[in-house]
Amino acid sequence: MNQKKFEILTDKMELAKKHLKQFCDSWVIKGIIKSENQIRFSENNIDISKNWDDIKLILFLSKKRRTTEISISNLSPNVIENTINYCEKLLNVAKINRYYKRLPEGPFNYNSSIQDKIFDNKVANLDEKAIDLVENATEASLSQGAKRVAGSFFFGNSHYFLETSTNIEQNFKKTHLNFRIRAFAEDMYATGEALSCSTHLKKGFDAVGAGEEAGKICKMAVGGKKGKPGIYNIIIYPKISTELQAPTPAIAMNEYIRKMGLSWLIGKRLGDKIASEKISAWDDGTIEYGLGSSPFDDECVPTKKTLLIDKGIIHQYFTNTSLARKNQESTGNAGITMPQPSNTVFAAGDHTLEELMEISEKPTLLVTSTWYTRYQSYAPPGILSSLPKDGMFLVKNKGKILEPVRELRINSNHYHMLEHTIGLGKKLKQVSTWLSPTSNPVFAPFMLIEDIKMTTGTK
Amino acid sequence: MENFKDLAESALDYAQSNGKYCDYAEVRLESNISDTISFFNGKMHLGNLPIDLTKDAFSRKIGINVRLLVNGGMGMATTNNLNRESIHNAVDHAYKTAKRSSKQRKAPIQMSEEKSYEISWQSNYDINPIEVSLEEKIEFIENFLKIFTEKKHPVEFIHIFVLITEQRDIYYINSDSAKISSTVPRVAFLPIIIGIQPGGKNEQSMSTFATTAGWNELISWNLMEKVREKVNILGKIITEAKKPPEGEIDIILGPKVAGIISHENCGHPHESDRILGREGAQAGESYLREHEIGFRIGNECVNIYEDPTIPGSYGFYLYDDEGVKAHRRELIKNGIFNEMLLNRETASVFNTHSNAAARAVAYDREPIIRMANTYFAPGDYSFEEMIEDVKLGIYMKSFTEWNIDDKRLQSKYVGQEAYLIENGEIKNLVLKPGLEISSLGLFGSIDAQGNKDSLEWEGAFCGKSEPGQGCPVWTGGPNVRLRNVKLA
Repeated sequence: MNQKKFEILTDKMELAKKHLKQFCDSWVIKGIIKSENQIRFSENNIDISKNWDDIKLILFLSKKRRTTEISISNLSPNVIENTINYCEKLLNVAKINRYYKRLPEGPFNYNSSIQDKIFDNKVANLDEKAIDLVENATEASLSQGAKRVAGSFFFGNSHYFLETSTNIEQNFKKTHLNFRIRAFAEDMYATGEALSCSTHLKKGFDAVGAGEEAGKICKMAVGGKKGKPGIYNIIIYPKISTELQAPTPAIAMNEYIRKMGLSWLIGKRLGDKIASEKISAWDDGTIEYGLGSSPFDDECVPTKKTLLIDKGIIHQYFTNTSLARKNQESTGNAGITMPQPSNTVFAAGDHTLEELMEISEKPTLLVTSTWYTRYQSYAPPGILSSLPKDGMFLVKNKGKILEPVRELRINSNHYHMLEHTIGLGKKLKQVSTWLSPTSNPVFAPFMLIEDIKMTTGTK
Repeated sequence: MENFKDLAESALDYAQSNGKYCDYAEVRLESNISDTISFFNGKMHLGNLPIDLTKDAFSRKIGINVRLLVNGGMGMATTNNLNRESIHNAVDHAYKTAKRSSKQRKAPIQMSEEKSYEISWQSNYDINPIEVSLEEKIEFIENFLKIFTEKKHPVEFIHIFVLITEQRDIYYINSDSAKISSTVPRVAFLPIIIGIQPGGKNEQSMSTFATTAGWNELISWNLMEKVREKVNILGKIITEAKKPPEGEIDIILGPKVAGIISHENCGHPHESDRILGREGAQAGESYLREHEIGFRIGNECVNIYEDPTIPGSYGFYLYDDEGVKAHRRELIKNGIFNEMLLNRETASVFNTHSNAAARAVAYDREPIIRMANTYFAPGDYSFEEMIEDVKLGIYMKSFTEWNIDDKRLQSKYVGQEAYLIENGEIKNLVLKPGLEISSLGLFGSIDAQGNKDSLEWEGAFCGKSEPGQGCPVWTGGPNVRLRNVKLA
């Protein structure tokens, strides 16, 4: 880390602390030094290379159980002072936050092994080698049948510093790689998309493999015809879980969202069945090479692996210290006002993709990606539709023939999709996608879901 | 902001000195102040939002964005560490990566020739919303909470009210001698209401009332009545709405539905970066990639325009984030593909001029092609004239779920407040009528657009690009009539 940036951040955190101490009962200062890069490409060309070099403060403030949060990227001393003064005025007119109790006291035992599993010097120093990776992935995609590719490669490193009014001071650093590539055939409606992400260059990250996969899917999608509307079984690629399956453990099982009435699980209790027994899901802030992993959360509480859905049964909601239920601890998911998911992890099954196609006994579609998931309502059962975006295939002869189809839309709801998951792939893949309902990383297998209504345009 | 203008200028000088040669250089110094106050079911919430409007409830940002074109390769670097050394590091980084990227490109990126301006501008506003007292903002929202206690409703409600006030100040300079300062304060008020019949049906409404014309403008819109009406109608939809008709019918789209269609089915596919493939892995491409200007998209009566210069609009600007002067764009004219949205990069590809569609939402985002205020141009019909010869149809006044494919062809709009029309008369409410139709099928089914009396606007945050940029826009239109379509 650049020593000068560290000194600047330390100086700004001290300044903020001095002002916060004057009126806050409790406070947390989170300082972030970030260097992030992105290479965006399309039509087999790099469109732009970007670098973000930021120092940022995020403050949580509480006075007489009034709370607020503010992000400060303007580091002028007078702006920091004025902003904190503004927050004091805000707290003076704010209502009591009934969901806020206190900050945790500590001390805590942190799992020191997590740090090594979320920071890779090779990523921090990737520099121009990143362009080679983009070029190699592009070539791989073209060699599989794509005519052109587009995509995005994020990589970078961040250093987080936390200090609380309960005398806890901690820091950790983190790297990330997030590569996504979309391949297009001559036929512009024949497309394939694949992605790869990790915290480490040599651990689960494979840009070239993603390029090959996207190229293969787009080639297979050539000549697709408009599909027939009706009821199908669907087999979804792991990344689709960010749109269709992960929103339940990652959004609806957020204790704050439940309390706000914005969860489609409203009315359900711990112990209620909401999914088939194939579905188990965790929030896991400790998983190796997870983009959402960290040693501790925004309250400096150690992260952990929390079972949320146990074989279809609601086991627990994820929470911070204040929202934890009686006789429960925080699950290490602060956000202090609102908990945040870390990595959402589904249980794997015991099937290969080929086996899932074999065991499906009804007309089946293999769906490789979806987008634009929209809700009729967040209320139960979470009615939505989602659009298959890239290669979609009608499975024939138990998967021996995959016939490309287009223009079908998934119409379902979260209850149905969870309850009708009848088969799982044996491997988990880490996925973090663009503009999906689930904003955190997800580890998911292929999933076979029964009886999904597919519709198409009437004109 | 003023203190850092020298730094911005030194960045531009540095980008063009010390042996560097840039085809084009620009520096954008930008300050954003944003306050978001929310109430969830009557409880004040001063933290980040669970809905993806803005991650930071309160933020104070300032930073510099340097974008350089070197040997036909583009590099961008941003920093909020505003000292000479960091700024020069940013320039060096952008220069180095632009130069390296250029070696990978088969064809160089070029920027269209445009007139340069040296000017200051701002939106015309009454009271700057960011300067309205916290007490007044809180009281403003609390008044809406009374709606839920003033009478007994037939259903239960979950309600969220979000008030976003912000100010964006920009100092933009480029190597073509442009020097533009701007200030735009914005305010948006979002009531999100879910009506639930215990153990039964539910219906959700999201609205965005938004303007750049100041606090008093927002207050003048009689929002209390609008929200009260929305609450009442949600209750009626849940308890009274009946199954919609089947078979071929006519549909009259209300202004809100027409507005979202103008944005999704017309505005997005007319973005030239999508047409050229640059958003291929993000927001997608466009079915217009296969067509030329002059392609017939819809019937003769269809006119859809795009205009950043509408005073008070949420998407208001006079100069875009590449320094190009804004004006109205006529995307579909008399049913014909008439004009794309262009920035300087894509204008160069089409050997034309930019029409000022480059926008960024913050200093740490690149300017890309965005809509501003997209709308169906009004026609000649009164509402009465539109429904008088409809034998069987529906009037879809508002919508709930919607989506569209990434080529912007296959779209779906589910009606929320929607009524049966029989023999020219409005009848009962109908439940969730779903219109699932292609863009060409939709624009080819329109035979009438309402007159200017029925033109209405709705605020929105348009999502595009990566990292995402939720861009403030208006969508709008009058009533629009479709003939002979089927519900899904």
